[in-house]
Amino acid sequence: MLGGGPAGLYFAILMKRADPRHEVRVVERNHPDATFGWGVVFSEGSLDELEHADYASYVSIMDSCATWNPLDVRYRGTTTRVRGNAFSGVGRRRLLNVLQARARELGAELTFQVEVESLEPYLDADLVVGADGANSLVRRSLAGRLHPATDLAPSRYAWFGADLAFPVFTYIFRETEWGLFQAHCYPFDEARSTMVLLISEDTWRRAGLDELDEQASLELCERVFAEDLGGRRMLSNRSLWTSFPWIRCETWHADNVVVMGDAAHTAHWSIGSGTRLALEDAIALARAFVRHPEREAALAAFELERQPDVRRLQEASRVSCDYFQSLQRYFTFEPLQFAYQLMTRTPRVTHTGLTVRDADFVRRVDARFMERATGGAVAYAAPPPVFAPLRLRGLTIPNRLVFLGGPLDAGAGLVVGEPHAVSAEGRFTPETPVELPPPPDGGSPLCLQLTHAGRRGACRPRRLGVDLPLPEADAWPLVSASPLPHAPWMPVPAELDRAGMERVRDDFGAAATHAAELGHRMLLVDAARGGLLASFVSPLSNRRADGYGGDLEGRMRFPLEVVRAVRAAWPDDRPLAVACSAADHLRGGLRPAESLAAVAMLREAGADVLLVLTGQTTAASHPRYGRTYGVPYADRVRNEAGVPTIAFGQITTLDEVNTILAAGRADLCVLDR
Amino acid sequence: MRVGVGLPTSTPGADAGLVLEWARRADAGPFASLGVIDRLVHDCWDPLASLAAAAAVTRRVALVTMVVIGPLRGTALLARQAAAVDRLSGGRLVLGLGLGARTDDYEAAGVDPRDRGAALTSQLVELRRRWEGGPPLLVGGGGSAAFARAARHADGWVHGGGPPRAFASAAARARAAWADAGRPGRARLYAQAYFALGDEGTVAAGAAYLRDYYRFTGGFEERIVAGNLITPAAVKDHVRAYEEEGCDELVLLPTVSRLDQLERLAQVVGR
Repeated sequence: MLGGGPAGLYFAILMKRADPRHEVRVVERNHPDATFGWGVVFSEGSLDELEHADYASYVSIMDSCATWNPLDVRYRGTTTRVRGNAFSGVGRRRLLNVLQARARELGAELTFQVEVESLEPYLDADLVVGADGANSLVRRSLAGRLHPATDLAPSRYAWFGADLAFPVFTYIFRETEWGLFQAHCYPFDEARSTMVLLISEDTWRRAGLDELDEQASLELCERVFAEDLGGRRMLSNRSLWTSFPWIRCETWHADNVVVMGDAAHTAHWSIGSGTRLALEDAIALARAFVRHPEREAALAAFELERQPDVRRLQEASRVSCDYFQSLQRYFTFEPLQFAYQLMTRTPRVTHTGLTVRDADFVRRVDARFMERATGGAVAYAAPPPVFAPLRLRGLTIPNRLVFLGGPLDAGAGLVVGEPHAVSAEGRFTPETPVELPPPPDGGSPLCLQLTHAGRRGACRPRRLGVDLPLPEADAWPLVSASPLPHAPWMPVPAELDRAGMERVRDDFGAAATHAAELGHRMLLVDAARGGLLASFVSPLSNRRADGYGGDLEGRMRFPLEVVRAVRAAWPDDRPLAVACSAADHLRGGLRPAESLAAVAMLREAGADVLLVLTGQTTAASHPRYGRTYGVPYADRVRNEAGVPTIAFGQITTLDEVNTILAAGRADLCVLDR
Repeated sequence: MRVGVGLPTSTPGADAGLVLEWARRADAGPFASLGVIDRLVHDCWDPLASLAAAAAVTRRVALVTMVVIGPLRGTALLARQAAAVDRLSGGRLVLGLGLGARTDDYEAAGVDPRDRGAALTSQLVELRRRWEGGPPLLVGGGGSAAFARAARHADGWVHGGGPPRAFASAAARARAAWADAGRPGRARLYAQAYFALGDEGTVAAGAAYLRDYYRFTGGFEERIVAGNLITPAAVKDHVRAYEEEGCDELVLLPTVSRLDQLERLAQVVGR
């Protein structure tokens, strides 16, 4: 075992337990009592496996653990407590000492203060385990076989100690003159805590931390968190500011060498799972050798079992890391909602899951959500967020569910109707309606959708697929921002000229006037999914040289003229929605900052709410599908550009809807049925 | 959910007598379809030629490719072959197309694998344009590009196999892509699983075939072996679980070239 951290030691224990005849040697660089990084934390359930794997060390670890179940969020002068989380913390040194003693007791040979400089001297062993941490020599030596990849998170963090025991796991957010400082704090014995500090790269530079030595950096942080420390000290032990390295390897073994723990894969510390992953690796590897005495089969089985679980956890930890790096966008939230958002930062915790942990917390969240939605005081309890109404101008949407294309009688708060073209030339297919229908009698409020298909027009009905051009004899001429086809097999559109632009703008305006006369209550203008307006917005479809192309301002000019024309023709008391595309998912497409600027312009031009879509800029552009895949885009638009949003994209359960709404990621959700 | 069975056209030792008798009996049995798989650099019969033969000796079952590696074949020829099978069978062909998992198939066919995704998309569009009506099209593959391709240019999607949980999560993404594309109705969801029913020797032969067929995956073959359905209870559980997850048609592929495999499966599925 190269590396005497938790993974290496635990594997030594399990191998000696499985068969005392195994000769197990652990080689560690540091002194047995040296450790860097203070305490480690285990989340709910993560210690259960240890109980079965080796009861003796499990009991010793549990006896050394501080356990607590609430967590506190200190934010803008308020502390919000959330219960039911079941964390345990243990001093890293204490954990290592327990594992060292147990390994020795079972007959493993432990060697300390031996620097491993090369794999060579160890390769005659039947098995060499690289449990040598994120900076693994073993991984680097076998890079050609393991195919590791490392990238760095764009933030800075450092592990400090503190000579006080925080009462529970505590997140602290302190705004300073240099920017936001976050501390994730947890006690690991009666008198001390770990404090992991996280700041942005910019904050790190502005605070001058790039030039301060260890002591000066400690003192600066003590000043930032003075109120939380209450006169106690922070402790440093090689507490250096670094960027978190994301490490993954295509495979974890080569011949008789295998890597595990941080050497093989890292998971961001903000979901507290690095030690857990390392211990679970050790368990899986030892078990593989029980099932498959033959080495190659055992190592293959180990990878097959562990890779999917590790990937999932890495993915969740990446979402968590992204959240902590971008949470400043939520600083307008009330403390209660901010804490809710923090708790539900990865999809693993939902409204229902949180209710199981802390029913009273969720009750308060629901009540407060309803209170803000209705503007009236809610005494104690309220239905979950999906049943809160939403007022947009003169229209009250009775609940937060949106269906696309109907049905009107299934209880949705809003139905966005199928697209109606503003002219015959703007139809997607011969079946795309042009004539506006009267508003329905009863049922969900209908939001009439107005579109112009642009270069995606003149196609066959979508029963057989999308973007299938009509036979030439049946087709009509297409227009777009530039003469570029939507797909290689589709016709090249004509560039929309100035007269054409005026005509289209007037068509939209006339449709809005007519819709108002018919008595429709809400309108949506389609500026997404590769239609005519969308073709102006994306740099991939707009190559115009006139004032309607070029930079974002130019590309937005025509869509904004249309939205303004519709807004002018549409009664003041009725809401207007715009479907916008937040990403092209193609190289050279709309940049994130541009999409935010674009939605701000749409808001300015009169959009009350944005249906946030992505992709379909060309036939090759698609999102990465997955549970609630579109929500991060709606979230960014809502909380960075400050525009109310309708989220779309694989939202399939009311539990997901409640979580998205309560966390303030969107105002309405399109439910896939 | 319908249950189909694979033709033994890629398992070792199959001959014409077995394949044709297998097709006849499947047509009489409880199965909804006969499925074939495709790989060029392997002792694997041409899928469309095999289905043409099956068409001649069957009247009822659907004939499904799961999947033909589309870009290996020129679209014009593929369209003609598929149309012939469709006509021979009286419109029973379901044409599943995919990219395959290996580049050596492309090298053997003399086709540049680099643009295979775009090539398959164009192929789907071209098939649709050639055929008014025509056989239903399915797309195989497990990534977002495949889900998008299936939703935009086909009638459904084929799952490559795995535990029901994996199917459920992939099917949810296939449905999401369908909604994203703005298609009316719903995607047809197909899936496949391997089986070997019988004594230890049968199970071992099935495992040996899967190991050989999937050796190129570099370790993943063991997981495929582990997923082989080797008891009647395992088959039933798998069928039930896929049905619960909303699969429309599950095709069970043999791993051993023996007629008793079909009979044993028919007894499990038919009950």
